[in-house]
Amino acid sequence: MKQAKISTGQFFILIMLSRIMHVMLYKANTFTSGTPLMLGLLISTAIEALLAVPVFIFLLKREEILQTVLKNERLKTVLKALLALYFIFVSGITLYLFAEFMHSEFALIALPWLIIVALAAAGAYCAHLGIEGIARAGTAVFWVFIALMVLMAVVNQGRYDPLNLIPVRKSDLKMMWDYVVWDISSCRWLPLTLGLVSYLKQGAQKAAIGYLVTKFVLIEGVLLLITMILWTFVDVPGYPILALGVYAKTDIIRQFNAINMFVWALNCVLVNGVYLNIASASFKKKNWLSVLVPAALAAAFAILCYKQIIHLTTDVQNLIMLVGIVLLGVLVPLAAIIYWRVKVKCEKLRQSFYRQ
Amino acid sequence: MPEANEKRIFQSLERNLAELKSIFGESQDLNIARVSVEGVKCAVVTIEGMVAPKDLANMLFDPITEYKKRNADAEDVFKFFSEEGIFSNDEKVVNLFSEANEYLCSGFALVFVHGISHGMAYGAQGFAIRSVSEPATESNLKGAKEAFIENIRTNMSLIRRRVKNPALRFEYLKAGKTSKTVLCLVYIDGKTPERLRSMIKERIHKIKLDMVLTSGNIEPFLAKNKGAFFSSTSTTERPDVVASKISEGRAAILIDGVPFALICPTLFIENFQTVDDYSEKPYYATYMRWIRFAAFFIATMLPGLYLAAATHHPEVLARALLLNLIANAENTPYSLFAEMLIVILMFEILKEAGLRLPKTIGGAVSIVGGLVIGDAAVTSGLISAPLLIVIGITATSSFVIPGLNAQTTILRILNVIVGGFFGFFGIAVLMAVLLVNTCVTDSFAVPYTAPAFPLTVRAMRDVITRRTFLKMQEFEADIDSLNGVGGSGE
Repeated sequence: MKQAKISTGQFFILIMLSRIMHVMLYKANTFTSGTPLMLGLLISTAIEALLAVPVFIFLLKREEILQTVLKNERLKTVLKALLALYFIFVSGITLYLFAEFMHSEFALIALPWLIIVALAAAGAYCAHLGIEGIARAGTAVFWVFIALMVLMAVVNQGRYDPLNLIPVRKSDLKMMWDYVVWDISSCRWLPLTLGLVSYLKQGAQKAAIGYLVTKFVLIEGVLLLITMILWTFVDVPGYPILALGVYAKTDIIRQFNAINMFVWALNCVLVNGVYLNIASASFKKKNWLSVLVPAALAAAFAILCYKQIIHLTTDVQNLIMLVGIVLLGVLVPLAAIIYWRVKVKCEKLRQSFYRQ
Repeated sequence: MPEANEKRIFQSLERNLAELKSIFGESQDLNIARVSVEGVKCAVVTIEGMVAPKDLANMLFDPITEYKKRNADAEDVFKFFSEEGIFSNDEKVVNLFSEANEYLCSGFALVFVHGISHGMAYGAQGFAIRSVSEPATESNLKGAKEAFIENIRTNMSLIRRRVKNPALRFEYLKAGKTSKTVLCLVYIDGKTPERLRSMIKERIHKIKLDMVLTSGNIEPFLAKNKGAFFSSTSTTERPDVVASKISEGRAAILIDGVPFALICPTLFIENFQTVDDYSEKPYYATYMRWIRFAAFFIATMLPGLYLAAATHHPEVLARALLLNLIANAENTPYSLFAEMLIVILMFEILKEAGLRLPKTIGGAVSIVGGLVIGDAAVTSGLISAPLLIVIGITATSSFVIPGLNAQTTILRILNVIVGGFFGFFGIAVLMAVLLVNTCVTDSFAVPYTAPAFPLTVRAMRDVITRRTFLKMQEFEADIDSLNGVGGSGE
């Protein structure tokens, strides 16, 4: 059976959905103004672009690098284990944050542990079906999200007030840098690229460039909308994108909270499916167990975090994410590139020696 | 049941007849007519009801009685049967008893000559067949009014009349260890990829069922994806639809005894296309196509969304509607969830009763169901009027896409259950899982969700709108081109 492949467009959508999930679940501690966040996003995107250079080169020379690096079975095993650990952690955090969101906004729907288990099980099923199905479904969910954002912007009954765009003050700098750190720790697309590399077709580096540009434009646009319409009202619901839905009204739909939650839940299932699919690659045999074990671990971790048995502050979460991103998204691709270059040079030297 | 006899035909006539009687177990429909042709003993064997007696008499017995040759021996008589005489346009030499059994059961008349270790089989089918009539399940306004019948050869001719091209091919296959049902793979050479034909033949050869009597017996073996919610094959009873599909590079399978053809592969989006779309103006056809999309959404999602919104997310609904719902809910004894399940169950029972009842009293079902039960239930306060309206719209919408009837019904129930317990969250999780399940279905290396996912821009024009025939003649539809970016095939 041929290895499943996903196109550049589908890869772009998967990494965008992962990013959007994190933005959806972002809860501002205090939202004094949006402009520091908008500036922070500009800075973090620039840093992210720099961090993405090794991955970009890796994608350019993907076939040659993989052929060289993957010959080493031990290296392959270690890499898969690290990716599995990282993505079980990411999946667990996503489930935990989603349960927090549901508890704070829709507490009567279901018990948090039930929400975590349901999402983990659904994600495991999607992971079992394979990355191709998730990638195709992701295209649909991505466009549903875009349509929802456009609709909320169009039917928003709040006034677009440019006066809300207050210049960045000295007191806002801490908030700005906090956001920069948070945004960089959300660069999961870097380790995600490594995890999905065997599924990618030629030209995947275009997805990386597209992601950086789109992410900046999309999130900056959302922040602009939120700031101009809502300003500090965001503090009330806590979730900025959710806050946007509060003022959106149509004849049929009076409030968009539940509609937002619907789209976020769709996204959460798919994104978790991607994470669990990558985590399951560390198992030698591909069967139900290879997805159920990571899903169970992620769910257990999420429940323990929710019940405060494992205390994970936002700073600790961001730190662990950042370590994973630097290790798996920057250092590993860099090391692979260096290893490949050394191997190529050694081979050239050997050939020129034999010719002589 | 003993396996078909691989013994060769004997020279002795009596032994041949005894062997046939033994194989058919003295079955009363095995007819043996002994004749003497210029002193040579012969026998004509048929199965009662499978051959036309009048045709048999004209085509076989009359020429036999007119045969005159002095000192004719067994060889001469067999030569007359096999070479000199013209008895039927479908003549075959029979060497084995297994072949003899097959021909007898297919309506052939077998002739044995004492002293010759071969037989001759002549096509003389005369079993009762239904005449070609209007399609029962795929009616239309302006298209052809012919539908397939149970006889495979008639069905083949219905397709041949529409594709008058020698590239149209029919390949016989067999399925069913006991039934030995004849199947026919239909395709256009040069359009249908060889890999698709090979895939289909390979999967049919793997069928180990005893009896193959319906298209449903074969469908699971053709679809590679276990656990797929939607089927990547479809059925049609229209020869014009088959002709259209095979011209796009697909293949069709006719089954002897079944008035439906199987089309493989099928795309999800094709369930929303009808024959009338291509008989009407593009703008009207486009409008009707979007009506069908809306009908499918209403049929599967409306009850669940309504229940979820009314129970868990009342803030979503407009104020006037919400107040109306509250007022109605106060008068009913059951929870909205229970009411919804009761009404859906009632509707399914009435639908099933309507299908099974004889046509003469079928009308009574709609009167009892619609007027008596529905009206009485609302008047007595058992069920709220808004709920009945929602179910009424849902029921009507569900008849718009008959090809997805099973999936629509199950999806509706599932949405009601998850929506009732977990609101929009439950529906979202169900939809996500179903979406991935549907997107991963690609039994014939063609994604079921094509041309939307993966996206094939050119083909999408005939999804969002009904493309004009002027545009269609510029671009030949081809199933292989729908593999798009992101499809890896097998």
